[in-house]
Amino acid sequence: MLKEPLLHFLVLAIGLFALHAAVSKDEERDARTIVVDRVALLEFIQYRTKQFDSETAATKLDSLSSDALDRIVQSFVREEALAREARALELDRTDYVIKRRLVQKLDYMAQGFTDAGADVTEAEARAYFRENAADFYVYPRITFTHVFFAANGRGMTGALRQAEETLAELRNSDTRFEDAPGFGERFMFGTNHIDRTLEDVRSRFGDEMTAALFEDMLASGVWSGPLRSEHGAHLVLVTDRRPGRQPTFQEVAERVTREAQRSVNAERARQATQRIVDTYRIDLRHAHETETK
Amino acid sequence: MRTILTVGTCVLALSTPVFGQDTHLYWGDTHLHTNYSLDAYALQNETVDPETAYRFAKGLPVIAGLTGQRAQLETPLDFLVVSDHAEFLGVIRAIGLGDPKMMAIEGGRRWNKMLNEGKGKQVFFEIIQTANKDVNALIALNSKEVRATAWEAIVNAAERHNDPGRFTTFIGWEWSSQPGGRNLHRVVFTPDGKDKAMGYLPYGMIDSAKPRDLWNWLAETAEREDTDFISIPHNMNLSQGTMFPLTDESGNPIDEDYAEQRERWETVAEVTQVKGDSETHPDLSPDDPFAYFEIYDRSITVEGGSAKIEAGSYARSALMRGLTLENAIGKNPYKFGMIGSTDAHTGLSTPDEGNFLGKFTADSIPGTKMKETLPNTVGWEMAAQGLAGVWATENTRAAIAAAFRRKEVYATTGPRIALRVFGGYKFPADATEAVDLAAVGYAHGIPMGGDLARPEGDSAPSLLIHAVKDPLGANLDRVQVVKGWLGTDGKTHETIYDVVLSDGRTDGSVDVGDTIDPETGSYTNDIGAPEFVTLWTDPDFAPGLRAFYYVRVLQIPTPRHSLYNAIALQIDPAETGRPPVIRERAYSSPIWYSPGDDLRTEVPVLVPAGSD
Repeated sequence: MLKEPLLHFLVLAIGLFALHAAVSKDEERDARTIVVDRVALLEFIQYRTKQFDSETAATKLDSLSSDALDRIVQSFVREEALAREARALELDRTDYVIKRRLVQKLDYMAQGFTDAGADVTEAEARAYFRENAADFYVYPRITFTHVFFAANGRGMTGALRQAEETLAELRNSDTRFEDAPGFGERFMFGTNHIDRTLEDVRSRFGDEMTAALFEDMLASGVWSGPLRSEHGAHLVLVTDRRPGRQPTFQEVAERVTREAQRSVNAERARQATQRIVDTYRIDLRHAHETETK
Repeated sequence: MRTILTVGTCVLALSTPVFGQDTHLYWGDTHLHTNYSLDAYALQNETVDPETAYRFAKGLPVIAGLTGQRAQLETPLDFLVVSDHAEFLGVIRAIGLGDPKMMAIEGGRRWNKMLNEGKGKQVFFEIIQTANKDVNALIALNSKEVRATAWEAIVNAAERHNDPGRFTTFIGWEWSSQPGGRNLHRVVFTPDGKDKAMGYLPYGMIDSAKPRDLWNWLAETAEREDTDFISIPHNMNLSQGTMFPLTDESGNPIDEDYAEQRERWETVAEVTQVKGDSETHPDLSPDDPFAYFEIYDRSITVEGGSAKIEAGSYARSALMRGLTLENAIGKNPYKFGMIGSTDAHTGLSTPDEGNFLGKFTADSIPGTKMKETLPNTVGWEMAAQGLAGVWATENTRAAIAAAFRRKEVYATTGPRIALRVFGGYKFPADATEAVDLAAVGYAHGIPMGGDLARPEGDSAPSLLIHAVKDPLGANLDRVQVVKGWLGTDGKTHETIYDVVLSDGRTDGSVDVGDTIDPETGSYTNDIGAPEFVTLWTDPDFAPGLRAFYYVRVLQIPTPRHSLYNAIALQIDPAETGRPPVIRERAYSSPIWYSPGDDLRTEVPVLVPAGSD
């Protein structure tokens, strides 16, 4: 039970610093070695989650998959390396806020202040497109109108029967898209649904009807149904489908180039900071100890 | 005949004819800050920039501030304005990162040191204090060079992400005037693109703190650059009565010229957002049982005193004041549509109780909600709201800006409650049965934001109202009509009509109930209604009297973000100092009734001198 959160925070933070200082004295650390031990990881997790509770942090640490642990170790190492490099600029502090700030400062120096950078070539953009095809996938969309009969008051069976009867009428009179509002009952979420994504349709009609609409079972330009939703029965006229597809490079060249540029800039910044990290040796021998010293 | 369209330049209006429903509902946020805003950066948003803000609003995953957590919107927005403060635009970020241009100035070095010592909040408070006292002391640090660089980055991000027909971005900023801590802030955005926007730098409070100077600048710049702007006031609740005043900032009475300027630039007001709701206040509307909603009434000073509750501080009383002034000067200066937006400083637009990431990055997670952010304010007090609903012909800059101009927009406190309102005298009796209600509404009346003139004969105006729950949210409790009018006594009055109630209730004083489980924070839709449709005729209509009508829709009770956080932290919800339950709502833009100028003699002109 947190009674005085701020005080709680301070007591724990001071405790952590004392612990850290004790551990630091305990073994003389080589300036070019980053020791990733349990104490350091626990401290890191607590700061990152802003929950100062070593038991919870320990539980979390012990439950991590090796991948997740690896990611945490990586970000710890990166932070430590960059912080030390920044401290070499004679800003030596042990305050965590400073440490984060110093890392950001180095990142910023690496990135530059604007989104400037050398332009990517078409070949580079094409390569980026091949590697990140999924990011440019065009999701399926559908355009349809519907005639609705509410289950509310007459039950689903009644709504379906009502819809069956009307279907013949719609087909016989060759009812057009724009005439749909002349039939059936008002549907909460509108009559005409133009160029809608699957998520859009699902949020209004639910899973069952969305599946029926997107599975291509319904012929375009023909009144069909009835389809069931949680609201009642629907007769639908699909007039346009844009199936999901992978666009050609030409179609999305401008967007790809932009994204490629962004990724090149980010990669340059990453490499600049990685070069710093790479100058450090990493000592992982104490990372998996279950007892702290 | 179908037009083949290339991806990314899909203009739906050309490819698919629109039948009946010739406007569509688009959801957006016109008020969002990123790390280019001085206070956002000082309060720990160091990483979320305009680029990230747009990506998040589009539904792409991003890395959020403090914890490096991955954040993604379940339901993307349709449009977004990144509106960073014009004052110190990008400057605090540059100082924090040790930009040499800023390190060359003594004040820059001092703030850099404070930021590096984790004293961002003190930097922010110092700026508030100086701005409230002596704005000239800030000029030296308001580097034009840094601001120009930041402006270009903001404009570039908007241009990169604008995708007509799919997602609309607007280039904009916030003019943050608050003389003596009295909030006069406006968000300004333009429907134009980079070619026009690079012709100016955002006008800020350091240029002038007077609204009329802002409007003059907008007029001059629009003329010079052949461009246009929309200016949106917000947080009238913190204005101490000065947002909708009886005299302008120089002490002159509000006149026709002032009304014309205001009408030209400020067709819409943001009435609900993270720093509280400004529809009305219990002191101003004592007979409104739902007036006590997300009230936040502080002054923006470091001392953080209470804001005075005045008619010029809330939307409903301001709309009524507009009727009084129209009667006196022949023109209504306070004739505005209503929207909600977030004013989040996290760069992430999160107006839902369940996904609320705080006003600042500093109070963005449950464990930091008890932190002071604004003077004497903690994260619990901030409100998870709001949203702007826009009825536009298509999702483009031009079409959405046009909807703002004609006020066919409305506010919600977060949920996507769909709301149509039409006003008229000749709706068919079976209008509510129509499958396509909008077709009937447009054919026989005018939409929200419009005007009704004196009818022939003495028929009373009707409102055709259709309200639908958020498809992924809670049911609705009731639909109300709020009427404000100017009586024959020369005074304004308000009446609230419970027009339609859920669950077969006929008496509005009967509460809809509550399904919230305080242990788990879950609720059910076993009460309330998914949809309301009604045709309401004013039973108290007087053809000679000026009036306005707007619709308020209430949801059934749902958990407030502070309850979710209390559950997460395993503390008593009472410790948050806020109620665990919230009555989310939507406000339509008003429809105004004007009897015509020849009737101004029916009502005595009573305009008190100075503020009331």
